[in-house]
Amino acid sequence: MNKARLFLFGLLTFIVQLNSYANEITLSDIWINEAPPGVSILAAYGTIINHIDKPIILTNINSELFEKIELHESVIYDGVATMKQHETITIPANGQLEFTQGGYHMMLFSPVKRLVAGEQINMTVDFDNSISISVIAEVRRTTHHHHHH
Amino acid sequence: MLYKLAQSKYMLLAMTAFAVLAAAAGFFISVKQTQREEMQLVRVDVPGLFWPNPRTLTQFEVQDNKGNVFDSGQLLNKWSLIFFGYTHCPDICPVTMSLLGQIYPKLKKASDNIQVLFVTVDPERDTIDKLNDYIAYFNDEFIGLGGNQKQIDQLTRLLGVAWFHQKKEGDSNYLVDHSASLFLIDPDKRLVGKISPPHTAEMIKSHIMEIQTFINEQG
Repeated sequence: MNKARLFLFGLLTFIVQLNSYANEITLSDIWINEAPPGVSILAAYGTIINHIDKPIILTNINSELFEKIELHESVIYDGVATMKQHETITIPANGQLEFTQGGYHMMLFSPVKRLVAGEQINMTVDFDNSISISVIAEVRRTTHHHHHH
Repeated sequence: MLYKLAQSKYMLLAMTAFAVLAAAAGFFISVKQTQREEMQLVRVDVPGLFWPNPRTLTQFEVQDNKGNVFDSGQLLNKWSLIFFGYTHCPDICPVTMSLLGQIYPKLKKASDNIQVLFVTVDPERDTIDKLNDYIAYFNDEFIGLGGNQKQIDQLTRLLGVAWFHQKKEGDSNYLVDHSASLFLIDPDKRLVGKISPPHTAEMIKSHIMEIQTFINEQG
């Protein structure tokens, strides 16, 4: 009886702690850029804010809809665009990481189907210290479409 | 004597008149010259302009997104805006293509003979059908150019475009480093401008229009 109570207490404390961590890392406005038909590598953007007094490390991003998700950074050197892969990205204490077009981006490989604007995609973002946060990314179309008649 | 004096007097007068005229003409010419030089000095400031002696594009042959031959003849009497990329490129390429999709109607309003060309630097994966789907997404009037690697090399060499495949064994998702600049070809098939990244819609549009104005003024 006592053991069970202790276990329950421990579990509750654990859940509360997880939640408090979750509150101290905010994922804001995560979105996936809709791609033309047939394209198998997409990019996602958004902001991760670290409210904690120490740095956190972004280690992994997952989604059931993609074969894999990598962290990349577009770098233009002397007019030539190249992409630099990052295994992890450190977000400074009380700092933030911005994924923007032409900068850091999440690279999404081989979607199971074509994603169109308006769809909501579940993603899991993992940090060091076993913090894992679920987020919904919206698929958006940024291009201005010209209708030809 | 009197006659001679009169003659020399007239001579003197004539010479003076001539000298004054010559000086005036010289002054006028030099003023004109300075004005022209000043104009040229101002004009050289057009961002991204290749002037004087722009390179004329002659020897190349690629395939368009309908499977037809596309060579230098298709550049004649048109303004061509060229971007190099590949469809597996998730960030820079779709972002730039979206910008081009945004400004294209405005560019067309300014000059109705403008064409936007997307050239793949990854012809192995970017088949003609794939290119066709890709460009139509951004604007169905855009033209996609592909072909074999040799044909693409010919065109990239002509324009001085750098690219590099980051190929790894057995990796079908390899990335390609490539020039992210936009190249502008005038209706005489001359490479007259390059717009370097990072790009914004407003910046692309204004640079193109400035270069077009300059070239049109050259007659």
